[in-house]
Parts: sequence; structure tokens; C-alpha cells
Amino acid sequence: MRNSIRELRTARGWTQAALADLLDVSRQTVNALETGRYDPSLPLAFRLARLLGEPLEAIFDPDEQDEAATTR
Amino acid sequence: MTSKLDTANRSRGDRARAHAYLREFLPAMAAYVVVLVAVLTWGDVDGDSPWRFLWALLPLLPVLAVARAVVRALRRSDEYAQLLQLRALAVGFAAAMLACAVLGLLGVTGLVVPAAPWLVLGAGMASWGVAAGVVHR
Repeated sequence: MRNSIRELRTARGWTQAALADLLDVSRQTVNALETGRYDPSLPLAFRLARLLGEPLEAIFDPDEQDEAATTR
Repeated sequence: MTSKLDTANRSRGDRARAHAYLREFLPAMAAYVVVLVAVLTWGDVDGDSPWRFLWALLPLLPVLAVARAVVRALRRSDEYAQLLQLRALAVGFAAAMLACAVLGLLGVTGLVVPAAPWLVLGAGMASWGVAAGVVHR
């Protein structure tokens, strides 16, 4: 799953650590989310969307692999 | 491009969670060392007193406190950290099971490996530790 968390975070002037504190997760988790190594659970994704003031679709974008899995 | 906003500094929450873990883990480990020294000094575990079994099991009390500290740290951590820890624990569990199987199969041949349970414990703990280091990179 591609996402624009890093762009949205830096646009607000937040560090990864600051976003981690706002989400009550570790900085390592924020880094894993931004680099696409980890897709968040729905509750965490919604917390992220609420915090960034963006709809989920504006933050997350399924990549070709995800799209292919849904059409299988 | 890496900016000032992409530093690898730990967050306040990370530091608070680490401190909370150390506050519980370190006293439990210190208690384990103290109890172990007491058992080895006064426990007479090689003698024939019926109390020697109780003495031998006494270090389990601080070990339970260590386990409690680890479980509470896991519960305080977020979903991704829990996933990483679960992976590391799975590696440790597999290594302990493998060590059990190896020692069990060697036992069939009549070979008695001294301190075999400690080897199983060591294999499990060491593998868990190494795997935790690898998955947290």
C-alpha cells in the first residue's frame, strides 16, 4: 500500500517522533508506515486520517499488487 | 531527501515506554541475581534436605517478575512493535523446539547431554534476542 504520510507530516512541520507521540505509537512504527514496510490496522489508519485531517483515500493508495489481490 | 523532520530521535512516548520497562525489568533481574546467589550459598541444593527442592525453585519468583515486566512492555507497545516481537518470539520458540528435538533424538542413542534443559533455554533465549535485534533494524 502506497501512502503520503511523509508528505502530509512534513507539510505540517512535524518530525516522525512528534507524529509518533500524537498517534501514541513508536517512531519506528511511523517510519515503517512511511516507508511502506507496514500497513496500519484500521483503527490506526483512522486515527492517522483524523489527525492529518484528510480522508483515508487521500492518504492511502493501493498499489498494483493490492489491486491484483482484490480482483483474484 | 532527508530533512530535520526525518531524524531518528526517539519520541517522548518511546522514552517513557523504555523507562517504564527498565523500572520493572532491572529490579526483577537484580532480585534474580540476589536470590540465585542466596540459593547457591545457603540453599544446600546438593544435600539431602527435603527443603532443597524449595530452595532450587526459589529463583522462579524473580523470573516471574521478569516475565511480568516483559509482558507489560509488550502490552504497552503499539501494533507494529508487537508484530515484530511476535516474529522474534516465534524464532525463539522454534529454536527451543528444535533444540528439544535434537536432544531428544540424541537421547534415543543413549547419549546423555549434561544440563540439557539449560541448553534448550539458552537456544530459545539467544535466538529470541538475535531475532529481536534483526527485526528491529
